[in-house]
Amino acid sequence: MTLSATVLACGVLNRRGIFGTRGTSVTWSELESNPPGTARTVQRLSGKTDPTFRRIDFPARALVLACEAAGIDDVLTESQRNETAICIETEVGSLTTDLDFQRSLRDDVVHAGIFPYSLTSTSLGEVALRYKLRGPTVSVSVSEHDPGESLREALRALAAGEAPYVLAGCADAAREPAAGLDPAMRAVVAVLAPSGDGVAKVTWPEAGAVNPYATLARSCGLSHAARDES
Amino acid sequence: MRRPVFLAGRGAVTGFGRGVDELCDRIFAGETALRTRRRTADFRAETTVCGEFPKGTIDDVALPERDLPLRAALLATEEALEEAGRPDVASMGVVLATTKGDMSGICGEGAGLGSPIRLGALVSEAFGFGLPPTGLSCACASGVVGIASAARRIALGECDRLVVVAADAVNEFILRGFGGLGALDPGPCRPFDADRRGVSLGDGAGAVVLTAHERESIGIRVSGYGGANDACHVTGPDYDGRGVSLAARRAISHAGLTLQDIDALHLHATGTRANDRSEAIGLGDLWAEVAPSTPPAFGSKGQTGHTLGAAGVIESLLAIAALERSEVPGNFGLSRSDCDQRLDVQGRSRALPRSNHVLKVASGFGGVQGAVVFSV
Repeated sequence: MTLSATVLACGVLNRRGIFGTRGTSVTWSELESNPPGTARTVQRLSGKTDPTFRRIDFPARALVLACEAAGIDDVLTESQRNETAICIETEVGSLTTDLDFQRSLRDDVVHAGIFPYSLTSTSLGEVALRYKLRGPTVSVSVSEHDPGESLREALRALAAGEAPYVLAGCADAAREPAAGLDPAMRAVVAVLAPSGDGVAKVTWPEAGAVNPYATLARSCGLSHAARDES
Repeated sequence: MRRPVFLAGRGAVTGFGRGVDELCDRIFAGETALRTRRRTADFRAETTVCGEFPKGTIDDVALPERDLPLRAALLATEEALEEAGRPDVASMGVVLATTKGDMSGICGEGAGLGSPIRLGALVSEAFGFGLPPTGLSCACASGVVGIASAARRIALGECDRLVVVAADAVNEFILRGFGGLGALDPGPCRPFDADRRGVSLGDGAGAVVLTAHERESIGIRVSGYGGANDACHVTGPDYDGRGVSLAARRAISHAGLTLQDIDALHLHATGTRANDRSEAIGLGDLWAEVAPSTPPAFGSKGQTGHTLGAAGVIESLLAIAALERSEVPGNFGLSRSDCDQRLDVQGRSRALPRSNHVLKVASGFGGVQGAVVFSV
């Protein structure tokens, strides 16, 4: 497969800060916050008020802030967003929420409010809800040894003509070390179109490629951000 | 040019036991697998019933609960490969779809940390598939999204054959999670009935082998698929059913068909007040463009329980069975619907005057909507 696409916009959130093709480049210390941010972070980044931000899980927060840095509202009209698919991959998924919920069962205090976030698609729903993205939505599970399947899935959807735009990306955001894994904190999102002008081109990530989303961010001029991802 | 995609093999393990024939025969006979909870009896939850795998179905020895999804996935895959005539696995891969299929390390001492790709890798390793496994989780729409994902890869010429396997098993995490949301019916669920009170859960695994080669087909095509997001609420559906309507419209259009071409619908039909109401409105609105009501529609969760990520594949098998038998079974537990009457759901089984195309729809947390069209 030699599919490719145009990148219309890209946003990155990592341990250094939030960066994006909208011109966003800000560190966490400048934001006076810790990753993956609070409702105040949204306000400072984009001037938006997001009253439910504090209730959503870490992967969703990371994705939303990366989307703000990408400037989705600027590059896609409302009717284009109505057709935009979502393809996001994760390595650890909702592990933090899973462990929190399981702990609540053990303590016999069921935290029903967090249960929906034990399903990775719920985090994508938070993104869809905020930007009114009404295309097909898929949460892809990847291993650390073979990332990039969501990018392949996005390129397939574009090539097949099933969506004119795709929000592709990755998100892993954990609060603390869990189950022997380091706490990940990163989200990269890219708005892809089949062709046309954009900030970069993206090609099919071959199996075993090292972090295709870091490569994508670099190609969008976000080298400073991508350094943390490589 | 999109290559056609055919169905070559099927497999299932459900509360009815092993096998697609067992599942279909008992569903069409109007039986239910919802029984008093036994394996999950120790877990406090606001329901007395569950569609658990019958004892002895999965293995001759009692497996730890944590191993059920993998074991069921392997059995369903085995059956599907058998019907497909044992294709060369070296050129095949697996698409593993699940809601929470691999919780062994969360709920116990296992190695599974909720990651679908790990389950996919284990299935792939067990059968020696040559292509890398793919894992996805779109909550209760996972199975349908998995079929669409695999069909897309075959249609684009990326590979010739893939097996889609979807599996989930009920555990304390799931039972108490849905219970905490107030989503469980205390007794057997009654989708679309005016007195419905929520879902009943069930164990399940389903598998389908998809192929680019018509000669390998069992006479069924995956003719179209589509998806959508409600972009409305992350756990509740759009009140007006715009998401399910959009996904259905996209799938039918992708199949090159019109609304009038669809002969039957297999619904998500969970039994929650919100899901059934919005599904009826959304599909009723869609078909209102061409007819006073939808084609004959049915759901199966009153018989299998809600098998979460596995539901999309298991219920696709039942949708296909409706085409093959030219019949839709009755909606189990439905006495009187209080939903939009334009959705043609009935408690009794009905013969189909024409059976060429069936639409299967599914929904999941995060507003995910999936739809797939199967054709003879």
